[in-house]
Amino acid sequence: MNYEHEHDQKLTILIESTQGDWEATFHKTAKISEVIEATRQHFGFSHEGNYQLKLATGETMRPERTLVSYQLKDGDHLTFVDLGVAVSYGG
Amino acid sequence: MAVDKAISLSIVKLELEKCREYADKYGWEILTFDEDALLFKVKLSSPLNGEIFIVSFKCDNYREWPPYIDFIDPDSGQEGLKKSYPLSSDGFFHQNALICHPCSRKAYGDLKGPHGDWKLVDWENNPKIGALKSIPDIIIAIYERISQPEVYRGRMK
Repeated sequence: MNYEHEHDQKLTILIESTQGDWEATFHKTAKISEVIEATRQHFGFSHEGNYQLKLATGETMRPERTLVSYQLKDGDHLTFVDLGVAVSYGG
Repeated sequence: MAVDKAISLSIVKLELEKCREYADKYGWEILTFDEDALLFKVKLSSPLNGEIFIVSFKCDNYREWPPYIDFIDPDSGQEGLKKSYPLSSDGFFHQNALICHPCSRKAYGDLKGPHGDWKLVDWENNPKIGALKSIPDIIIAIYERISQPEVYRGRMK
């Protein structure tokens, strides 16, 4: 695989969070769940969150889908949020 | 050991500044900030049905303790009524009128909450804390929960 072809398979996006922004490169076929996990690790958040990625339109990205399925391009911004795990106790 | 009030105040002010960026984006309204009591209120509106939710944050001893978060009845101004809380598809908003998460002081057994197994002073290291370690993150979580149709179930009865 030559460099150009390999480059074509990658996508560089900016992930925004309250802890700052992270510019990261992923394979275009990476699942959203994988991008969420990489983001969680990058910012050092605990495993037990209810993490989501959102498009600039506000749409919540589905974890089972891939980056390429959202037709993202280099430089696009995504927002990382945590809805909080529900740890209800008899509620 | 109690956190000096001036330290808590400076942290809350910084985090509220961050909140104002999101307030513009999401239409939140920061209603009051009583610096002496370290108490502020924020008004959120569900983009799905226009329901108004007013949330109060009491931040004494912050960040050694998490904020004391409660919902306020938009009509009467009464605090802690079940009907002032949103309902979500999971138990984040607890039927006992509290947020059941380590970011919420009201959930702790020390304050007669359901979680006697959690330690107030260790709230930021609770494995279930996720990203909810700051006031902006907590408000974002509440706002997202009243904005996503898969999660939001209207107001508690």
